[in-house]
Amino acid sequence: MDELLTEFVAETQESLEALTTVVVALEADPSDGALLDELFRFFHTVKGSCSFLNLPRFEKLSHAAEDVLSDIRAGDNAADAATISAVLAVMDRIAELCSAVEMGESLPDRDDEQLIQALRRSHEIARGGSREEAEAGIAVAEEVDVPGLHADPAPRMATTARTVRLPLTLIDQLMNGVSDMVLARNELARKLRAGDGDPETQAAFDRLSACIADMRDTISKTRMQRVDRLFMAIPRMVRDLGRDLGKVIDLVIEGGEVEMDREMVEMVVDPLTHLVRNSIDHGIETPEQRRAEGKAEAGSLRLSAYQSGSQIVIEVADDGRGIDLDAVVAKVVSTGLMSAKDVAGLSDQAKLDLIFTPGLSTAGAVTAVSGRGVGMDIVRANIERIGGVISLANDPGQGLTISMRVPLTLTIIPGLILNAGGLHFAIPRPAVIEILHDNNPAVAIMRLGGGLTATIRGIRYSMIDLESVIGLPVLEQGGPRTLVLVRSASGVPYILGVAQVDNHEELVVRPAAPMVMAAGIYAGMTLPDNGQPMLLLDAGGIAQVAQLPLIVEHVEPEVSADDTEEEGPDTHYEGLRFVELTGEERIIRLSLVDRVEDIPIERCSGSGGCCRALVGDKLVRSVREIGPDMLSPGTRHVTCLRIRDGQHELCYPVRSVLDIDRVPVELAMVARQDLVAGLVLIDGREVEVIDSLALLARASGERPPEEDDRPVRCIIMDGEDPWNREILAPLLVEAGYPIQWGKEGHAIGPDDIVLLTGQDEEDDAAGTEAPVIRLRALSVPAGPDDASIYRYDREALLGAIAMVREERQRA
Amino acid sequence: MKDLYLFARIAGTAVALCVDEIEAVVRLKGLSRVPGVPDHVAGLSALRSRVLTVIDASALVTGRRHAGRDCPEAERYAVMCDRSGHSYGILVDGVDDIGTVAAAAMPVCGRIGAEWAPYARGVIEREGSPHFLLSAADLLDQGPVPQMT
Repeated sequence: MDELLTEFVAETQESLEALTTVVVALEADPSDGALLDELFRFFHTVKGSCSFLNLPRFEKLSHAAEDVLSDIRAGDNAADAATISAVLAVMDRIAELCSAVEMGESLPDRDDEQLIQALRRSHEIARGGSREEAEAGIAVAEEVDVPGLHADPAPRMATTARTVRLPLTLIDQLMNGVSDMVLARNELARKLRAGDGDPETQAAFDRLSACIADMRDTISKTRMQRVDRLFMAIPRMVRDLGRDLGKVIDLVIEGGEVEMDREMVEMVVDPLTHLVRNSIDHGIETPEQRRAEGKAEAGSLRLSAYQSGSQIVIEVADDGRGIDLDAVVAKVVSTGLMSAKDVAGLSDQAKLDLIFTPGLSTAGAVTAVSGRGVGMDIVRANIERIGGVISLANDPGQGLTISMRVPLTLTIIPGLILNAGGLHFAIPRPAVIEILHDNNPAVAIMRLGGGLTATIRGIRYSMIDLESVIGLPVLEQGGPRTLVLVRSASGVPYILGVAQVDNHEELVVRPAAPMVMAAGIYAGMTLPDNGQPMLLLDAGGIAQVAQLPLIVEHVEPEVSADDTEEEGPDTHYEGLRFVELTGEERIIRLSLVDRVEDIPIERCSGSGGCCRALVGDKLVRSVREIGPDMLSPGTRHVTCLRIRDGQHELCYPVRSVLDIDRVPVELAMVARQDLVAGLVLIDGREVEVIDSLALLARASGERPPEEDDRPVRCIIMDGEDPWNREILAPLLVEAGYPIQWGKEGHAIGPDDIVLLTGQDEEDDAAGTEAPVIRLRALSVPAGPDDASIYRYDREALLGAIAMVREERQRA
Repeated sequence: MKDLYLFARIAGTAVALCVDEIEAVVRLKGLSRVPGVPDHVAGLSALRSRVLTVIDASALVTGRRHAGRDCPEAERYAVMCDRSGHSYGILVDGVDDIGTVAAAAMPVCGRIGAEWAPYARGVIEREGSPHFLLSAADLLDQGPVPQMT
């Protein structure tokens, strides 16, 4: 049964019970005004509730009783016993209907109408008629009532779960109690780990731990409320607005059974109302316009809610005129918010996002021009304040879909834990767009007059170090600092420089004290699992307090040198250590990883052993197949490493990312299998290293071909070059060619093939009769005479070697 | 009139707080600093699953920090109170006693230090020695009062 209906029935029965005393008292003294008021309120409430629950019988009955009672309350004449009896008969019928609904029975459509007639009649009589007629009225009422009250006393077996009502404070106390338990458990866990670890104690503790986790989940559920609540007022609003504007709207509401935190429901009501109003006001056309467009006269408005991971997605979709991008752009340019040149460089999606620009919305005229945009900045600010995200899908002329993604609860949000100036802070995960290290080749930081800007892949952002906002010194550190690209309140991203990002955790957030909030840079405080309280940063507030100019600028990308070339003959490189979906710990060359991103599982699709993920608006080949069964229970996202090598893009699904390590170029052991090149030792542990070349080969869709053994020796001249050792040599070995390092002093025989990767080795190779293959770092040849092979062009390289071999065999 | 008071010391000065305003006296385990806020906000401290905002009463009143505030090893006591739904800990030098006093609070007399003037609501005598009667609300709602020199 519908939950709202259950609630209605429970509420009504509760009131009926409470009214028993009133009824008795009223029968004794029908003229008691206060009792009448109470009765009136009951019918009024029932009438109000059933109008949106679509319970016409309830509505009719309560309406009639309400009418009569309001008449009595308004008039001077007190109620007479006959009228009260009739009213009570109606009340009994409502009680009957309630239990019928509760048990899921359909109550035979009996003569409600007669009851109502009887009620009206006795009221009329009381007002002016004779006593006898009034008696007759009661007789009718009683007569009608008899079958209902005395027939089939069906066993009262409730088919639905019984409910009780609890004060919210009690639930909050429970919640706090459970939080205390979780913290105590964590402390105990630390103590147990530190001790010698008796397995029996550990097992008992694990059991306790599981119970507490279950309990926490259950308690969290008590805070949940169905999204129906959110949608309750919408039908009425749509009807009224449609009538006012002369539009016909076909409203569809879906997913009301989805649950979210009741506080969250409160927070989403206003933005949702706003969006619906916008849709009807500016999106859906009048019937005439729609006919002219060839659309159905009735505009369709669809509200839906569904759960996606730890988020609830609420969508408002209409089939109206959508957003006219050109008009939005024209408006933005004419109001001077952006220059025409800047706007021209934007993608359609970015242009669409312009409707969130503050200032654009305040101009009333924009409504007529852009078709939409009233207060969208406020809507977005409201959604982001609760850690949500809003996005648009525009189909000009065909409609607009607005999606709001909000966390399930206000109190538990996914957060990142940052370190700055020796202190830890948390930041809501949804506010973070990207995280990079400042030594990433895609980042250029510029400092001028104390101000900082950072350019990431051709886009220049304002930047500020968190330490300078909070007045702490930037501490010296060994590794690179971390840049966090965050969204400001207005939606314009900026970069927050921090010492590092330590961790991510589900955080229980609570409000901070006023004197802390007054700083303007905090959104609340939280107590993470380690028991050290920390503050939650407010990305928007930081930008405001720092008076950071929020400008995003597109700059001409500079031609950058190949990453790997800059490393020089180093013995180590930076590797990202991660855990595969299948549980193995592996390392991948950090320079290959563009970024780490969470991708919803719905966005991953696979066919014929080839899996793709939809990242942003393009399909990226996935290294491995991703299936929902591989994810840890409860999550709907898969963490992906985005691999980029100039031209190719890959997504590498992993279970989790662990750390960045200095990885020796030399493999401790070559163990080639699938994507693994071999093993290296990290802190005395063996970790598998991903074969970069085999990985990149997958980007272009190749699979390593099966090759025969070929007794041709390859001489790699420059044995110091890490690329040669890490990528080229394994490739050749894999293809079945024995390799030899040029500088090891062996003589080069005529049967060998010499591979050159640098310019200065030219001399070393001179004087040998062996054929020479040159590899170049750039994908395009230096000139028409350049016969070298692009070093990632595996086909060409192996082809060239094969050709040499063939020539030799022919000779 | 017999009210129950907590007798403590703030910045070396004997004070009394009405127990109605107080939830408990706790020993602070850890104190996480909060940057970017007035100096008298000493930081956050966890008490089971609750987070206390710790107020350095000494810094608030006199402008001098509590001696043990920045040393984690020191024994730091805080008077815990709830104010508009937030939990606070008022950092004190030490707590001496909880007890009733027979006499009602007397008006402040004598020329007291300007720093105490905004906070002292009266004087309470316990065993012959005077204590400033403070209200936790005054300490929690006000920012530092600018000192007249």
